[in-house]
Amino acid sequence: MAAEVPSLLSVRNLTVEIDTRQGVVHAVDGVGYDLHRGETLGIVGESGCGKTMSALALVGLLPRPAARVVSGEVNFEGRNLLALSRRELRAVRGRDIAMVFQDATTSLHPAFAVGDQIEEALRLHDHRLSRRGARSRAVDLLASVGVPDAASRARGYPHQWSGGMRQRAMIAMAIANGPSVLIADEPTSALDVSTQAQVLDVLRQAQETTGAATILISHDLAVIAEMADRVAVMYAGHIVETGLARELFASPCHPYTLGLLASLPRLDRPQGRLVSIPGQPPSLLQRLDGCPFGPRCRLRLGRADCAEARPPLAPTGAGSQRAACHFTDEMDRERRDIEREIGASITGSR
Amino acid sequence: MRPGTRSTSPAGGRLEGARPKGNEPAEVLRVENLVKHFPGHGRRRAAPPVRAVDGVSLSLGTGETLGLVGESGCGKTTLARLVVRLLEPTRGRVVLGGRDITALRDRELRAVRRDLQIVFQDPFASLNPRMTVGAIVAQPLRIHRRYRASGGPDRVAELLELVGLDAEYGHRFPSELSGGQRQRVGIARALALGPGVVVLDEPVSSLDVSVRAQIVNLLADLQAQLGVAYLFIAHDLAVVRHVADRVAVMFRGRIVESGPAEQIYTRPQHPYTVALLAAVPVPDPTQRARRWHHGSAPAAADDGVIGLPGSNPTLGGCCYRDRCARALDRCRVDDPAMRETSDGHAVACFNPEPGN
Repeated sequence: MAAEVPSLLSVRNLTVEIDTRQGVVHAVDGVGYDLHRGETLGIVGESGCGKTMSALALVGLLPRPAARVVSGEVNFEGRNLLALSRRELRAVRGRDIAMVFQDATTSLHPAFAVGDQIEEALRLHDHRLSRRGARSRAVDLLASVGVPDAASRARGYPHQWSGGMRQRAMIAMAIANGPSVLIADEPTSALDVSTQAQVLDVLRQAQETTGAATILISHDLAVIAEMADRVAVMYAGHIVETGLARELFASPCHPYTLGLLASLPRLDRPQGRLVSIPGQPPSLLQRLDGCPFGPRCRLRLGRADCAEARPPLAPTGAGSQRAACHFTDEMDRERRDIEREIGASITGSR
Repeated sequence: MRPGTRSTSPAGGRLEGARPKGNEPAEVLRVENLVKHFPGHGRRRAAPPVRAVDGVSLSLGTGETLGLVGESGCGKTTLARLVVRLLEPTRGRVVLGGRDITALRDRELRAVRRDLQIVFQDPFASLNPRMTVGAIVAQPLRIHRRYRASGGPDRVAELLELVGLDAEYGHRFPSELSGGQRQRVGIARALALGPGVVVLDEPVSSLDVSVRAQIVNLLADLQAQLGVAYLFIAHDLAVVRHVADRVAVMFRGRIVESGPAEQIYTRPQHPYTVALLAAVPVPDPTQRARRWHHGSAPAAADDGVIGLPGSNPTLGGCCYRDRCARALDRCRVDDPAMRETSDGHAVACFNPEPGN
């Protein structure tokens, strides 16, 4: 991706550390990406890979005091968000950059009516808005995310709402102030499949009406494939591959991405044995010199490069994709090997 | 790898005797019209009972995997607990190897559990944090007084290796293990007594994608090796398609469709199954256009009101009628029973999707 279009939000070399009883965890290690206007960037990875921490760092919501930003820059509308004071950041958060969290149950205050909480979000960023004005806006917002009978429902408390409806309320709250960036962290992971499909639809509509660029964080490759224009795959605190969703799912260029796709049982076709990734993600207590995926990689074959040098995120030659692997040129062969093992194409359907 | 011989099995629990005839595997577990109602809570005394499991019948053959799918609150886990008698059914029978185990108590029940084990969803909550892995795996052997006879530490090491853990893990505590390793320990414990049936209650849903495939493969290998039958309960339809020979779809405490896995997934007949399958995203962006075009089917038709899990507001009539796009007048009055539409494929619907 050349820098023809100035990006809306750019993250450079973001590094986050967390103090734990066992030592310092290098949760996010030199992560960088751009978010363009109106697009959806999907960040996918397994638990503990740093995807949530990297997003929380953008808006100054890292759990204090254990976690801290060690280095990096987040440029948004000409300012470095990481250098703002808490007060300045508070003005940005919720207005220009809004968040939807995984767990709407704990994100909504149990003792306030849902409508009141949306009103608060509105009036916090617009002091001239009257209570009555805020109320009618809140009801409109709830109706727009598909809450039936919004006016009376707004007087209800979170425990009277179902999980899917609460997540709709969270989305309504997030788009209340017309943000230009929406960060959705596992917005549907707590929901059933059919509710998930509905909430993803609502999220898509909310994006369309507000034009907000979205960072969608998920562990679920299928949700990412469903929603994202571009994808960043994270592993052990690093981005290991990025690219347009179409290209990345069609021809993964990092062994980890390929491994994830091969280990996924598919609903849309029968398949033979799953090819699992051996081992488990590394502990992030030590920083590895070499490739973080090395110990689990099928391509490594004991080669010294992988153990000694951390591969940079570099263009792979094919389209928009960039991958952090020393041996991306061997990926085609590797993919054919794996496809032979599972007896099906990893990417193409049916 | 089966432990010792099974000659010491108590009379009645005959699983080995029956051999498969033809293609049909011999039935090893049968659930007949199982019902579990929990008393309604709330201050009003008239609160209706929660009908968590409401007349479920299932059959499981030797060495077979029956996948049970449904959304949260449909009664899957209650059914799992009823089958292994961790809960007492309100009505109905559980028949293991031809023997009704519904009314068994204490000692008899314990003997039955040799043949019927369970693996729980949460590998963090289901292992005692104060016991070593070795002690956890040995516990079923000790309870059934087979620890020495089965080989003691050697047997434990053998079981750990069976599930892909180094014998050295026997000295560790669960807190030192990852989620995937803990689930392996849970599986080793369930297999310790060489059961004919293992109930797997969401065995992989708490695991990360890359580890999930390891456990799915492990379960398949163990089944091939030991001939154990699985009742595999999961909400993840893709995993179930991968592991199951037959599938039963559960909705509000009922089975609404069951049949060979391939048929359920390629030619679903119950409108709920159809909607459920349509709602699952697929890891392929090129299929997105097709799915968006269809729109997400109103499987849940979430009206935002919290229903009690398993509560069935439609007394009389079909349990799915309020969400159903194919509902007929009759569906408001009569409750459709399961009826076979093709070989082994049954559906509880008056107006099923035409199989194509």
